[in-house]
Amino acid sequence: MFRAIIRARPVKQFVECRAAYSTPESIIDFVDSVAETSESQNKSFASLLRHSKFMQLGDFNGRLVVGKIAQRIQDDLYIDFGLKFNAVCKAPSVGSESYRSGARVLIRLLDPELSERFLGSNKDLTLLEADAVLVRLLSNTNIARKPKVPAEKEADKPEIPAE
Amino acid sequence: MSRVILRNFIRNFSSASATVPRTATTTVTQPDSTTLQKATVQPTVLKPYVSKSLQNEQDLFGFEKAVHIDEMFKARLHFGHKIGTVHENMKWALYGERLGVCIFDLETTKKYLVRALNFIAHVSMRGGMILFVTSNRDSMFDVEKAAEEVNQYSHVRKWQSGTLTNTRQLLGASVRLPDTIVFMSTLTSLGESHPAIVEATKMAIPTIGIVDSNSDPAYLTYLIPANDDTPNSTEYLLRLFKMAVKKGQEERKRQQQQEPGK
Repeated sequence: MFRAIIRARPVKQFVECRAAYSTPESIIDFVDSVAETSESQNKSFASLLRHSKFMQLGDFNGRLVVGKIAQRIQDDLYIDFGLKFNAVCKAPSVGSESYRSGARVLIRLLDPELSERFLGSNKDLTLLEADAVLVRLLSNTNIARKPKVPAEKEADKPEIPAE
Repeated sequence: MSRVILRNFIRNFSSASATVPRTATTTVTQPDSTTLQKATVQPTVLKPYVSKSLQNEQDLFGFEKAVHIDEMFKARLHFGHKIGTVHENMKWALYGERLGVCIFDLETTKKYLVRALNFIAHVSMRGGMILFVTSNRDSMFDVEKAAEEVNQYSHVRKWQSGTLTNTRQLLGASVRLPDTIVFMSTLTSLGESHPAIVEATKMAIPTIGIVDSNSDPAYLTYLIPANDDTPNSTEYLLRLFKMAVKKGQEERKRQQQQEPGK
């Protein structure tokens, strides 16, 4: 649903986001989408790329990024952090049930795509997933405490790529 | 000798120039056998015979305005694979490489996307049958649903070899083949090209393919260089394909209402 909101054009988007203002996570989405859509129209690809979170991230290795759990299959979390592939991490045994799909987590990114060249082949073999270490859950209580200023919260928080 | 050739040339030329105005006034004219033979060398001689909507080069359905670079960027169409997996024949579509990750030039992608959408809409306008194919497990349900929504067809499971080339044996009857095949991902899980691409080429079915930086663009008619792995990207492209099919269907309905005799 949030993706559909992000995709919509700005005017419509504002109305829809107002309607979906009820949960704390939707506030983050709302702020993200407003920050993204303002002035991004009519820009060339080069300037979009230049000012993207992907470029601001710099070297990927060891970066702390915020991701959203796209899917949970038993103990495997598929975390979407805004690049091409999802990162796959194991859910910790402590508080395992709070790592549900849709929850936001903090991860330490190691590699945006796991690919390796095997002996004798002239192309890399890719696993189609990113490599990352799960750091912690971005707890919902933290967000609920100060819902009016999510932008400030993001200032002391590490980079969030494209999403 | 040379005079004979010259006279033949003039006669051909004059007969051709005589037919052109006729085709312009009367809508349906079949090219004669000599024109068809000439078209095997120079296909542009058939141009007066194609329908009027294809004569003018302009964007009939207005896709140039419907596709936005910023939307494509948000849908993450620009992310390619790592540089080690790049296919030699996909380098033309790349903007560059950022710390080992290939980045597509969305200006190029837009040009090719608009061309492909235009083709889909024209096929749909003529009542064509469009088959959506993918081998990506993540997007198979989205693709099936999208195809169903616009009353078209999809194939997302394992491709049985000969599905297009050997229908008589497999299905026991003559069947209508699709008029266009859209590949949402051209690679199988083993990293090989989808077997349907070659089969479509053998049966002279035009194909549209989303090609990622590690895909092989060979045998595809219309290429769209873009990310084929991220669900956001597939959703966005499916939305555009649905829009193109719908626009074609609406145009077809409008035309049929205008001339109810047909």
